[in-house]
Amino acid sequence: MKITAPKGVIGLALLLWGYQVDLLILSVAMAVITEVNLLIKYKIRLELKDLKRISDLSTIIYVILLGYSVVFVAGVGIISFLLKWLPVVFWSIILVQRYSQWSRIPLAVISLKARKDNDTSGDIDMSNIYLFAVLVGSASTLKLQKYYLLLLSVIVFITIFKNRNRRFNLVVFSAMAIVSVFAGFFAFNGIKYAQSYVEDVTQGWLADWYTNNKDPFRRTTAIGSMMDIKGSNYILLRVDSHGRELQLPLLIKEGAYDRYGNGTWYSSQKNTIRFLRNDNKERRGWSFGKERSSLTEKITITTTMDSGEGLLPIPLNTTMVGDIPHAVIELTELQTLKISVPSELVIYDLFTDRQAAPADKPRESDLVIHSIYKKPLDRFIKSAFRGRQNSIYPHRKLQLVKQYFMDNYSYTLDLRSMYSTEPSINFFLDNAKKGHCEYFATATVLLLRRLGIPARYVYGYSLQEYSALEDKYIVRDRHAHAWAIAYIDGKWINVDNTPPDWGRIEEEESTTVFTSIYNLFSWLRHKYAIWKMGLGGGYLSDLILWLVLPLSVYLFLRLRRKKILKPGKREKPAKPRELTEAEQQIYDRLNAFNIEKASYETVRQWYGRIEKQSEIVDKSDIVEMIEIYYCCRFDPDYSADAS
Amino acid sequence: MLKKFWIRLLQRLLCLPDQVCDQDLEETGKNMQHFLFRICPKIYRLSRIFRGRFTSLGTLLFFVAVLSAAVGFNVRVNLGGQVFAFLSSIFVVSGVLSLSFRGRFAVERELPAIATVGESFDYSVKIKNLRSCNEAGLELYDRLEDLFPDFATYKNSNIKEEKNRNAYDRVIGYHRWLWVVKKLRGGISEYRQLPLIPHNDNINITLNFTPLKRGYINFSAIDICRNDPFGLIRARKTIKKSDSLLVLPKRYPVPTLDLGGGSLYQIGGVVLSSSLGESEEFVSLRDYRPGDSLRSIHWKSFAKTGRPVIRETQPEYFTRNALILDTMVDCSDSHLFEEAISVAASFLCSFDLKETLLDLIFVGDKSYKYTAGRGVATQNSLLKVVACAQRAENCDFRRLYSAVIPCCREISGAILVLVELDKSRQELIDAIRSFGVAVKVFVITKREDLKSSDSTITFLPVNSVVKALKEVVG
Repeated sequence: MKITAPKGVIGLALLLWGYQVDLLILSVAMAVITEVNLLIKYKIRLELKDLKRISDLSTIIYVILLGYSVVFVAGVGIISFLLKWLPVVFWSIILVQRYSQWSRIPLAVISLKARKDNDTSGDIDMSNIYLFAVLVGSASTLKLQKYYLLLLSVIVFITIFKNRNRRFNLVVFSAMAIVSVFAGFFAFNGIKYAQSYVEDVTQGWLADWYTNNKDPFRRTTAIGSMMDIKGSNYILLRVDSHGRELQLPLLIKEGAYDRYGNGTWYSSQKNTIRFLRNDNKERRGWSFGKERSSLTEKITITTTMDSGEGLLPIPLNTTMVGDIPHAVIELTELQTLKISVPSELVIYDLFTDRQAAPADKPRESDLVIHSIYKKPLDRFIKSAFRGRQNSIYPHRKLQLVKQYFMDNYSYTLDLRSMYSTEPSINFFLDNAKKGHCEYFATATVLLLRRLGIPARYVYGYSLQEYSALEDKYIVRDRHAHAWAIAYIDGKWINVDNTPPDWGRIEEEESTTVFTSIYNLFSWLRHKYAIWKMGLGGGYLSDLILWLVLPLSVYLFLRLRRKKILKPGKREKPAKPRELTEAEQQIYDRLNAFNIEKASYETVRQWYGRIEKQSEIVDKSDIVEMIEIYYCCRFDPDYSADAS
Repeated sequence: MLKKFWIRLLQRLLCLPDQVCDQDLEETGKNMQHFLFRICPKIYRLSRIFRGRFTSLGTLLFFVAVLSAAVGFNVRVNLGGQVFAFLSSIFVVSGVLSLSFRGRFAVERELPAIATVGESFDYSVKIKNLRSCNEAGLELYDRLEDLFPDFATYKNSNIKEEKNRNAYDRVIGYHRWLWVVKKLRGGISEYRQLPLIPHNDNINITLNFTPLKRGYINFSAIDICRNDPFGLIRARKTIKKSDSLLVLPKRYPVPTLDLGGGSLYQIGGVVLSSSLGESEEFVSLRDYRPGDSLRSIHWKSFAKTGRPVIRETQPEYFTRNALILDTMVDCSDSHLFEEAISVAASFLCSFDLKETLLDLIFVGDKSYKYTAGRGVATQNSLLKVVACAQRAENCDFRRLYSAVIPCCREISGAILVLVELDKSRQELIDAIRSFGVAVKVFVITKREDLKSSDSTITFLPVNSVVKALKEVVG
């Protein structure tokens, strides 16, 4: 490093560092001692071995600090801790450079190799390195978050200014410096945003992996978890209503569970039966045994199944699932459909009847409540019903429960304050009074059971968004929802007590400026998937996409590199050469025969053609002219000599 | 020991069964070495691009940006992200501004005819600004051609500081690569500030260069660089301009040796233009007699008459010496070879070639014999040959033997510069002596304390060749 830090800048950097890490007094002292050398001309005489010892001591102290931080400082705090003390530990080096006769530090002091080689030839100015070490150290905390960039840029530009290219005037330098600061500001915000985005996406993936296990008999909820729950904008379902306007939100069930414990819902019935397809031409598909009435409505759902297996989302009042080629469907006793198909993309028709509902009867398990949840449930019921619960008919009970939730509970995705030693549902009902849909759904199921109404926990999606781009209703990952179903008046009905603003909150949390771009790409991907399915499977289309396309690009680049395919500029056609006087004369003479010269012909060939095609009276002068012409053109020196 | 450790480590890492023998593992190690060797040029080119593009302050800021990105990856923990974002922005702005360099130049390099290893010299570069605006704040970098070593050269290169390197460096071997490339390149170019170049005008600047190797050094291009306003990134225009410079080996002061040999009859064939008397001159033609050499037949007369005719020449008598250079040395002793070259070049310069002939004999990929003196060639011609002489590794010493012995009848004295004195070399010395040729032998050796009982043999310790040569009596 040949360049030196400008005078006073290290002091400034030390002050910034001291303020940032709450060591202001120490930093002031360090800054003064570092910079006061400008006034002191006395230099301490140090031997090379002294320098080596000082350097070794600094390194040893830093290693001890590293060991200390590993033992006593947790997690990423180690980095901040080490950065914080960096300027103190290596301060000695800069002091040596400022106060001893060594204005530059020999390489043998800091490089082990140079020390072993006894190489005393090289040296280095440590001031700039130390300056930036102090700046990095000053970034170890978040104290001066708003003004840090400004202060940092001042110090950096003072340093750069000294070493700038003086060809450019100060106006250019200043303008570029201001542009850099603004760009830095926006870049930092971009990084911040990118980090949030990556965290969200990763968390979404982890949450999916953790909670979204497609098991018809077991569902792990995020109840009791203390992290942010946030769904992504990934489009899971596309619903085609065939021109009808659907009544939103439409709840689409994926799985139903009847037994709860410790944050997980289970199905007490573990058996599945093969759901036999009705092969009647008019009603080809899987029918739930209810006749299609005039009220039957048809919707078409498109979804993807990982490995061709999963749970089939259907609304509660579905009467029939249309034909799905090569599909095998199993039906659980809680009316969950488990599907197995050869392709990942599944497109199926559903026939729904608002009046109809699944005909399966409630079981004993639909009324079971573990004793540990009873007390908070009773307190809730007491507050909501004021002792009148036994005299109210079931529909009114549902209304009162819903109303109480609306009035006293709120929706949140931030579960970090939900820590409690008591069961999470109890904490939700008694203390927190806020949570996400799984809390509301679980509490509703338990409350209804406590009120004597058979209820189940249902997991699925809330259809609430229409995409003008696709001309379809779409269900995103963040539309995943949980609610309760209750058996009243001989049929199962949806009971969703989650505050209705949950969709808006989720949307606000997840929507970004890139959502529309994402939507576009998602649609294109969907179109590709449909095209791929049309090709009859994955192999050919995958081959085209992943093999042929990159190979073509590669081949194109190779050919271009080898200049077989010439890129860009075309060579300009060369300008026709201007004729000399001698040439002009012979051209005039030959043109007089009215036989045009072909572009490929030499003058002699042209004359040969003229000679054949027309009678020439006096050949000799033309032949001589041609000879002179050739001589002038191709051997001018000879002609000069000859003349 | 270390090698075994790495082999065992490799065995563990690759989960190879215990019965895999050491040879297999060594083979794997060799493959790994080959792999690393192939990677070296790529890393080297990348680092060259990096060093060419970034100034020293730019390099420092780049590493600070990388460090701050590493420590500030979580913007909620510290402000490293702000440092990274700000420095990145500076680099982006610098990079964009560096694209605005539109300079067009023509350059002319004027190198000296020859140079000597280790001796710096000045040469001039003429730069013409072809644009219609002045150019200021420029730097010039005279680029030397990069010659990359083959695997054998890379593997067998002997670096003195190798033992001081850590285990990682020794295994990866990139420092070795750099060392060999630097050695093959033969010099170091540095950035040189240029004064303002007026539009459509040219300037002359003088550059200093110190050759670090003998032989030819190739200059491949000249870069005209301009730093961005912040002085972090260099924009550069590369003008291809190839030139070669012949670098002679180091030469030491040596006494003029009196080898003690007399003038000898020189069989015709050496065409000499000297007017000093004993030159080869045509005398007459006569008929062929049995025993005449075929080389004396005058072919034109033979063709005319149909019978062999002999061309008679004036017998030639003059002193002819030989300088025999031993090139058969291992790569591990290449420093001995370089000293041998320098000693040979030194003696070569000490000869007065006005009246004597000097044969330079050595073995490379084939046997070489060059003659100078009496107007045939000059010492410079032989120096050029010596400058380009290379080691003949794994070569049979008998090749030198068979190259030297046929010349012994013509020479009266010989100087042998050897890198070892073993049995075969001793035999060569004895064989030359058996022709009555006066011999002087110089052996370059690593040992300081070697003395010879034979006064014609002198040991020159490699670390004190100059001192030892001073003691040589002429």
